[in-house]
Amino acid sequence: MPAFFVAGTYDVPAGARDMASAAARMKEATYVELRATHFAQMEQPDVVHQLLLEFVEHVG
Amino acid sequence: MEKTTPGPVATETRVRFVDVLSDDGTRIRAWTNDPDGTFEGPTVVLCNGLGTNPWAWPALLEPDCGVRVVSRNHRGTGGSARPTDTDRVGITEFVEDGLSVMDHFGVDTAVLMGWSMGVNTMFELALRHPERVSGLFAVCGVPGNTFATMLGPLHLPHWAARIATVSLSRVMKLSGRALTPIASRLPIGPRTMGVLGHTGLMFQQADPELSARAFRELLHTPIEWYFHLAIKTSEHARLAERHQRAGLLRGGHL
Repeated sequence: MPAFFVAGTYDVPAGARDMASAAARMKEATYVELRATHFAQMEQPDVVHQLLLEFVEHVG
Repeated sequence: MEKTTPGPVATETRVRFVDVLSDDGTRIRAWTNDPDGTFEGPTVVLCNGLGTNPWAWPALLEPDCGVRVVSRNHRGTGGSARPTDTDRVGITEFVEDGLSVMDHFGVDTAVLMGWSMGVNTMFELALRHPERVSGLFAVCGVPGNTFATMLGPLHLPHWAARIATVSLSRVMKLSGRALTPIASRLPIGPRTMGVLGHTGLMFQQADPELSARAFRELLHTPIEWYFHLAIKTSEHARLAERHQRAGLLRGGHL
């Protein structure tokens, strides 16, 4: 199943390294790390949303 | 058991809320960014962060955002009822709620998007019902055992991070009754967001007004209930630990 991970380098509640390792364990996963905290979609809504749209199109 | 007829609850310009009954009869407040039900395009099912709300997603509330989003507020938060059995607030129940919301909106298969604890929920839903999921989009969250992976930048071993975060949750659950009246009255506005943006806990918000609303509503959840949810969901082990041996990750259907 295709998966996409958006991590924040400065995310305290969900460490980026753990997201990277989760992505590495999956067959079809892409991992992107932003200069963001746990609130990535509130700090960079346009960036996160563009990634979502591309993923939805790719999967669709 | 609470009896509520599903139906429109409130309509705002950009979001429509509707009540949906979950498998165990708990009334869940669902929401969509397609208030008129006229959007034709792909649907994304959002498994939101614990106790959070639509206002944490500024891009999804833009009228031309290109996707229909359906989501729901967690049990006992944001207008959703507490279950009769108050222990029914773990990932299993959140998955049931997610499927109930998908059924309500007539969504057979969709991309799931998870944020924070919602990433847990989304992976569990995909594991149990892969036929309902076409892809997984994870934002700032890990599949399972969130508490062990918290405090990542502090480079604590997982067992220590888990003890620290679960213990803090227990303290917050016990002291919640005293703190809720304070937290729910904090005057959080765009200026507060600006101050928080300089702390390192979060960066500057793209839409400080909307972020302030997101946090104000989050803080209306009684603190003891919030941390009850947090402890219950923390009992969900990391997906990899449970399923790697079963071959469900590399080489399996995920």
